[in-house]
This record gives sequence, structure tokens and C-alpha cells, in this order.
Amino acid sequence: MTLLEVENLHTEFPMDGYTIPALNDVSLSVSSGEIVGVVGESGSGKTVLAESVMGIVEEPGRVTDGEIRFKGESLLSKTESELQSVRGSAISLVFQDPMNSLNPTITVGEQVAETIRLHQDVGESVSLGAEFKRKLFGATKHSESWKQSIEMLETVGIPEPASRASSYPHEFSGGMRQRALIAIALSCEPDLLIADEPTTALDVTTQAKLLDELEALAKAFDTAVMLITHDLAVVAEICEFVYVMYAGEVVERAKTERLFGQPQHPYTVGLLDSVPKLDGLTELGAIPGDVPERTDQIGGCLFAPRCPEATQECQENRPSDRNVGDGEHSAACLKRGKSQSVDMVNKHD
Amino acid sequence: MSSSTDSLDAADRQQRDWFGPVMDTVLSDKRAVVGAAVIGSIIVLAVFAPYLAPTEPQTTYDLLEPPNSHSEGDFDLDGTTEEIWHPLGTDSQGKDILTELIYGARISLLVAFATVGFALLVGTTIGMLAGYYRGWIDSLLMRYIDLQWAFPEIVLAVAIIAVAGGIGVVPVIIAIGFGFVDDFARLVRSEVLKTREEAYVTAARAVGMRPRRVMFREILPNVTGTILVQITLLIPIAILWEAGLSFIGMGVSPSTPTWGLLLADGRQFLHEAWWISVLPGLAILVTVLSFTLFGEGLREAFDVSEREVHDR
Amino acid sequence: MTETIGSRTAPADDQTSLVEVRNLKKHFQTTSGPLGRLFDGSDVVRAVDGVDLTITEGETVAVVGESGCGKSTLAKTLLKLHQPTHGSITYRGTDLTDLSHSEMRPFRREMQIIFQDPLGSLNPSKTVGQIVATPMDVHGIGADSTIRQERAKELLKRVGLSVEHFDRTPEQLSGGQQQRVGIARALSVEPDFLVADEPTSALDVSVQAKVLKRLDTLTNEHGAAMLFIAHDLSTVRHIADRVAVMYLGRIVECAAVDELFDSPQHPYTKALLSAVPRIDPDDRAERIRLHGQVPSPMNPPAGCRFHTRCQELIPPTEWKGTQEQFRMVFTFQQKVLSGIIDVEAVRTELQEDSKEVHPSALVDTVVNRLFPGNLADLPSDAHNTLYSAAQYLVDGDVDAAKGLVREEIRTPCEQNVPDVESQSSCFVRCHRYD
Repeated sequence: MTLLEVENLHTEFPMDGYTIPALNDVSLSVSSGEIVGVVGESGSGKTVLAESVMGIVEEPGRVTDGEIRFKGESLLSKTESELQSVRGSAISLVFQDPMNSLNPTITVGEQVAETIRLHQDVGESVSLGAEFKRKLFGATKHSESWKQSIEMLETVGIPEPASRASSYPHEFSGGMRQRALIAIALSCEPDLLIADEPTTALDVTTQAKLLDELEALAKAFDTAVMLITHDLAVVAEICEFVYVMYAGEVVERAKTERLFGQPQHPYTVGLLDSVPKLDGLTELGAIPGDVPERTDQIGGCLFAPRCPEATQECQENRPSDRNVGDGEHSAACLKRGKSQSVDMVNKHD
Repeated sequence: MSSSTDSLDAADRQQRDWFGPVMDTVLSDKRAVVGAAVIGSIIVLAVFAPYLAPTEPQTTYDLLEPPNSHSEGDFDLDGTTEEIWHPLGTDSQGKDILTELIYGARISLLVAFATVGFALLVGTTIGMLAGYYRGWIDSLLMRYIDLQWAFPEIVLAVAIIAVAGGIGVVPVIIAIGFGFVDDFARLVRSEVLKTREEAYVTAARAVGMRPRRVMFREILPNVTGTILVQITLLIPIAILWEAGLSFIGMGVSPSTPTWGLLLADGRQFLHEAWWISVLPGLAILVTVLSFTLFGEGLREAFDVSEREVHDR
Repeated sequence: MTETIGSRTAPADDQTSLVEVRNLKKHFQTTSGPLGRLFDGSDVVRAVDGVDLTITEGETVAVVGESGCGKSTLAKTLLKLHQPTHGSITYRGTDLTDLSHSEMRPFRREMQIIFQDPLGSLNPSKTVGQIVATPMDVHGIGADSTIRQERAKELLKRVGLSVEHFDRTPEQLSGGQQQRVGIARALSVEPDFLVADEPTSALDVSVQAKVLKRLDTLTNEHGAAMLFIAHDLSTVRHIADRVAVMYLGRIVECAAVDELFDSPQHPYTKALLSAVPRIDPDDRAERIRLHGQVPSPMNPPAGCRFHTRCQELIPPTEWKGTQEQFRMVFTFQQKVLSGIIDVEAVRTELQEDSKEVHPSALVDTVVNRLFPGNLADLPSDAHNTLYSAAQYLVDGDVDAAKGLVREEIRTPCEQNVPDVESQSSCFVRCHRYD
């Protein structure tokens, strides 16, 4: 079942005298229980995508066109308070830097418990007075929300959760904090978890552990995951379907094995070449040039200035998604495949 | 955006390209613009005093005339009778108040700028040395600063003037200036402590730069914003100080017109000739306000442009 | 599309050593004042704790380790940006260790550094041109400022920037461009030794590749030696001649790059390699899981520092079970020693309907919580140790529990520091190899 559908999304940032199209005609979809990867470097718009879905795009940016549907309902037409009930309970977001997302003055266990209380009916008051009392005097260790909080911490792999729950974020290591964030995100059993660079700030060994656990958790909770990252290898390890973004557009989409086995878009190829190899046999490739800044001024393909295969046609025409393989694999390149006349989004219908 | 190859000073200039964005922010803040405009006018008045003042300074006319009045008489002793218009009246000695105010602006502003300048030089050096070297230098310097800060400023000012052998422009400047040294010292020190941890300072040391160059050519330019703001906030206080010292007779000199002196003079005549004190008081008020407004605008501008990050 | 990397010359055996580091230590005090020391006890962060390293002319040596291992401190201490607490640094035969800042000056022309934070390492109040020209000005390279500016422009071109960038300020550049300015600055004095402190960690993948290649080419062109610090093993394969793996302030393995990647010896190196995510599913091997947490540099483990997390921990000779079982028993010991289990919390959890919890049930739960494996197969004395320790914990006698596990569960890895021939350029610091 399709959980999230983004169709032809346009998000803009008006600047002094011009407008930057942070997202240009972006379409993607996530099915329930699926782990989807969104790969992109700086300026690709991947974070703006997450923010647009959650309705938290920072001023002066705004969504100007397109549609975002979650479980069939349009998110763009919801009011702020309606969105608030969606956020955290149906769609959860995990950021890159856990230290900034956790309240340093509240114990970790309490932060998880708070989320549980807010989004689930555990029979505990969430009035201002009750919360104030809890923060001041400490939560009762016997309350239902606290118990569930400990369970949640255990599930995400925090050792000795019963005692660690009373610790503060600064007493946790980076990996533990990230796990705590995931615990908070999953505590309401959301349908979709959007994780924006969840492991970038972590060491390799911690990252490896966390990725494995994230995959297992997603399966256990039947939560779909949209994993946003610039690290291709991370995506290769746990994602089932991948979207590659460049300068605000989706330039290629495919099942993981296909994308890495037979990448079509020259940017994807270049990106894969740039990933350092461990085998010592392959040369390290590089993409010449830089990501364009004023994408509003480019008429043709955004990647053309850096593309080795670019022709005059590429400089003049913006390519649309073209089918390059098994029906689910498409690349926005004039030199590949056949053009699609219909926007291709619902790959599972 | 091509660079001109013959801008020989480019590599040695310490100016960075912050002026543009700062000016933009300041100009968009109406209060700051008003403040700047008023300050500008006062400075113009002070500089061009001889041309703008209606009469010669220190010349006397009719005594205690109210604002918008006239004096009649032969004041220049040329045999003819003149009628002089006093827009703001005259004081107890018959001096035209508007003239005195305009000339008084000179002294007030001069003293204010010189004072702050003195404090800036001494305070910045102390703060810079303390913040950069830390350790015992920091302890020593900061103990001195603490001492000075704890000492009541007025007592300090009077003591300095006494030591200097009496009143005059220079003793007053040093007296008030000393009171401000700790402001700059503390400010600069905390900024330096913060900045010296930045990677580019480590880079400068790694290049083998001598400490003095690191301090004044690498760190200092990044602190100018805060210093500038502090200057605009201290100038009005210096003006008030000068007025206060003049008021108690410790000012620049009893004969040079300053706003504080005018205020003092008018004290005894508050009933009959309120304008003698009130008008200088108003002048001080307006000046202080405009500096404060402008300073606030500057502070916002610097806050904004320093924190501006192009996040994509 | 793919630009080829310049060829790396393998270091000849009789190359002259450029930089020699012997038993280098850098410790940081955390609390100041005698009172703090009195109450806090061990407050010294042993960031670098005995490093031996030799770098020959033109060679690129990579130091790889995770956060907290001290690699960044090592880089800075090597350049005397921190004063070494102990040990020596020799550059072309001269002992730099006790030189003052002004005595170091002439050497600084030959040793430069590139930082991890591309933007932070550039003075925001200066233009790119000023930043690149400054080192030349400091060392009197170039007769006047015009010549220096010309050189700066040349350098900008060599790192892949354009003359246009000369008048820009750092904030106006992208991360990759900023980092290239840092490289241009470092190269402006034509150093013979370049320290690159995680120069590409903050950059995107494609930008990282470009910067890596550029660095490689430039150092080869200059004939400069490079110490390349990284947290990620994958980046160094393309650029290093030799690799040193660092853990908790010490180097645990050092080998030629191909050897290290193709046949890693030290268990930590193996774990690091297995943790790198791979694109090609065929490349993926069984992930090696490290036990426990990284110890604090203030209190490194005795003996081999890695032993608390090592998957190849050596059981004592009298151990009757398997190595894997011993490893799990050792994890039990670590958990007891770290006080991670809160018996009361467990009791509360087990308590349902306010009934009293049976002590043996509590002991069982505690053992199962702390022992990550199958209790049934354990040798009987180990089994007894575990249960006795758990009993002590339940009885509230934490010290007895700790004493017991320390006494009964021992490994040679903890008793002795592994021997290593510190003079050789390749070594492994592990009891399995000494």
C-alpha cells in the first residue's frame, strides 16, 4: 500500500531579487514497511524535501506547487494543528545531530515517556501542571509511560535501559543519543520514519551497528523509513529503493540492486565513481565542476555543465523522467531511455 | 566579479566586505537612521559652529532673556544700535544660549570621542593581551581591571584630575577615559578568548606568525563589530560624564562653554529662567538618545551579518 | 569522466626519515586547582599516550581511528601546536620538542597543516587572496606584495579555483572551495611536510574525491610527505603509502597500505574494516561486533587497551570453554565492573501486583541481563562465578561482586602490554602476534 506520495513538488526560496527552486518537480513514493533511500549532496534539496513533507520548511521558503499525500490525505491542505497531530505519531523525523534535538535538562527516559504520553492514550494527564510536576519532582518510576519508555530504550539497543533512562543526554555517547532519538521517533509507532543523515555524525563502527538495528526495528514495527543521506554505501546496505537527487530534482530512481548495478544517469555514475573503494584496484573518479548555485538561471539540464555526455540539446532542454529499464527504473537524462509522457510515481499500483 | 590586478593594497588591507550588508541592515532600521541623522547634524553643527551660530561666543547681550526674544543695544560698540534675535534666550551673563549650545557641542563631542578613543586604545590592548596569553598575564591584568571597576568612578575621576594638577581638556579626557577602560578590556578579552579557539587562529600560529601579528591582524579584525557597537554605546555616557563633571565644577574649564557648565549655571535660575538649564539638558538628552539608537541599530546589523549562513 | 590519480611512488627502503616521533604523549588536565585534583582523582585525558611514528621523505602516512582516539591531537602536537607532555619529535634530525614558538618559526615554513573545518580555518574578515598570501608574507617569500599576490593567484589555479575567487570572502565559497583555499594556503610556502587533519570529512562524496585527488597530485608534485588523518578507512586507500591505526592514544597497527587492507592483523583493524558500509553486496562479510563502549581516555584499560572490546580476546591457559564463551564471560565482568546494572530497577520491573520477588528469580534475571549468551554450555566454574557475582549484586554487596569477577575472570591481554618493535615501520600491537 502506498503510504506517502509526493507528486510534482515545487518548493521555493525567494531571495533578494530572484527565487531559488529548492525542489523542482519532485515526485516519489514510499510504501508501508518499505525502506527508501534519498541520496543527495549539498544543494540537492534532500533536507528541504523532508521539511516539505513535514510542513516545517523555514521561512521564507514555501511549497508552491504539487501534492503530498499521506495515506490518501493531502498534507498540504492541512492546517498547522492538523499537521501537529500527524507529526510524531504518524510521521516521525530524526535529525542528524542528536545533541541538538534532545533537551539537555530532561532525562532521556522522561523525553521518551513524554512522547508516549502525548501521542498514546496511557491514561496519564498531559496538562501543563502535571508535566511541570513531573519535570520538577521527577517522573514516577511506576507510571505506564515510564515503563513503556524503558521498553522502547531497550528495543533500540540501549544497554541497561532501566538505569540509563535516568541519565541525561550529555551522559550518553553519540551513538546512544542517536538511538534515544530513534526511540522517541518510534515510540508512537509511526507509519513513516524520516531519518535525515542519522548516522553521519557517528563513527564507522557505531554506524554499522545502528544501521543494522534500524533495519530490524523498521521490520519489527512495520514502519516505513525514508533514509536521507549523502552516503551511497549506507543506502546500499539497507534500502530497498533509491532516489538520487541533484540540485533540487530527482535525477534517477530505481531498486537498490539495479541502481548500483546499472546506474544510468551520468550523475549517479559519477557519484558512484567518487565513492572511495576498499579494494585498491579501482581508480577514484571525480565529477568536474561544482553544483550550480543559481539553478533558476539554467534552462537546460542542470547537470549538463558537468556532464561528459552533454550535447547542445542537453543545454537547452530540461529532461523529464525516462524509463530506462524494468518499469521502476527511470532517469532524467535525454541520452537515456524513452521519454515518459505521464509522471511516474506510483510504482506499486 | 573580476578582480582588478592593480589593487595593490588588496592583500594588505584589513577591510573585509562587511560594510555593504551592515549598511543595508542599518539603513532599513528607521530608528538607527534617525539616530544617525541626528548625530550627523550635531557633528555638522559642531564643526561649522562659527558659520552656524547666530552670534559670537562669549559675547554678552541682555541678561536672562527668554527664548524667542530680542536684545537691543549697541553691543559691538560701533555706535549703532542692533537688534539681536535670541531663539533660545540668554543666560545669566547675557550670552546667547543657542550659540553657547552649538559651541558647547564641540567640547562635548570632542571630549566624548577622545575619551572613548583613549579607553579604546588602552582597554583593547589590555583585553587582547589578557585574552591571548591567558595564564598569569591574564590574571594580573584582570585583577587590575577588577580593581578599577570596583573603584567608584567619580572618585577616580576627581583623583585623576587632582593628580593632573587641575582641570583642563586632557585631564578630563584621561579621567573619564580611565573609567571606560574596563568596559573595553572585558569585552575584548571575552571576544578574544572565544576567537582564539577558532581554527583560523590555530592556522595562523601554525604558519609561524608572531603573536603580535596574530593578535592584531588576525583576531582583532573579527572583533571590530563588537567594539564598534560598544563605542556607540559609550559615547553618550561620556557626554553625560563630561556634563556631570562640568556640573560639579571639575569640567574642562569654567570659561569654555560646555553643556554641563550651562546646566550648572542655570541651576540658580530655574524659577525665573528655566531655559538656561532645560535647553542644555534637552541637547544632552537628544544626543544621548540618538547615539543609543544608532548603536542599537549597529548591534542588530552586526548580529545579523555575523550569523548569516547560506544554508542550502 | 574519471580523472586518474597521479602515481604514488612506493617508499624506498633507504629513504631518509623526515619526521620521527618517539613515545609521544600529550595529556590534558581537565580540572584545575588542587581541590579538583583532590576530589576527582584521575582527571588527566591521555589523548596521545605513547606514539612512535616515522615518516620518510615524500611518503604519505595515514593515521586512522575513531573519535576520541587522539589522532587530531597527534596531528597538532606533531606540529607543536600543543606542547608535548612527553617524548620527542625530530624533524630532519633536529629535536623540536622543547623549542619555543619563535625557535619553531623557521621550521614552520617546512611543516604546514590543513584543517578539518573548511570554513572555520579561514579568517572570515579576510579575502581568499589575503589568506593565501599571508604565509608567504610571514616568511618573507616573494620580494613584495605584488609578487606574492601573483603567486597566490597561481596557487589558486593549481588547486582548481579561479582568479575570480581571489577577492571573495570565505563565506562566499562552497565547502569544497574553502578546503581548496586551505590547501593553497598550506602549499604557499612549499612545505616538505604536510599534516592533513581529516581534510575531507566535512565534504560531500564527490567533492571529497576531488580534494583527495588534488591533494595526492600536489603532494607528489612537491615531493612533500603527508600525514593524513582520517576516521574512515575507505578514504585512505587511494592516497596513503602506509597506514597506522590508532586506538585510545596508541597506534595498534601500522603497515603498508595494501597489506593493511588485504590482510589486516590487529582485531581492531579487522573490526574497522568490516564496519565500512559496502556498495557491492558481494563485498560484505560478516560484520564484526565490538563489545561494550569505548573506554574513556582518562582511564584506559590495563594491559592491551583494546582488550575490553576485542572479539579475539585471549582466554587464560586454564580456560576450558571456547574463545567465544570466554569473550562473553569477559563482557559479563565488564558490565559488573562498570556498575551498569541497577538491581533495584530490575526488581521493580519484575514486581507485578506488588508481590515480593523471589531472590533466585532476581539473580537469574541479573545473570541473563549481563551475560549475552547461552549459560548452559559454560564450564561449571565460570557458571558458578557468574551466579555468585549476581548474588552479591542482589545482596547489595557491589564491591564483593566486583572483586570476585576481577579475581576469577582474567586474561593475559589485561595483564601485559603487548610488545612491539617500535623502530620498525610496520608492526602490530597485539598479544596474538608478539
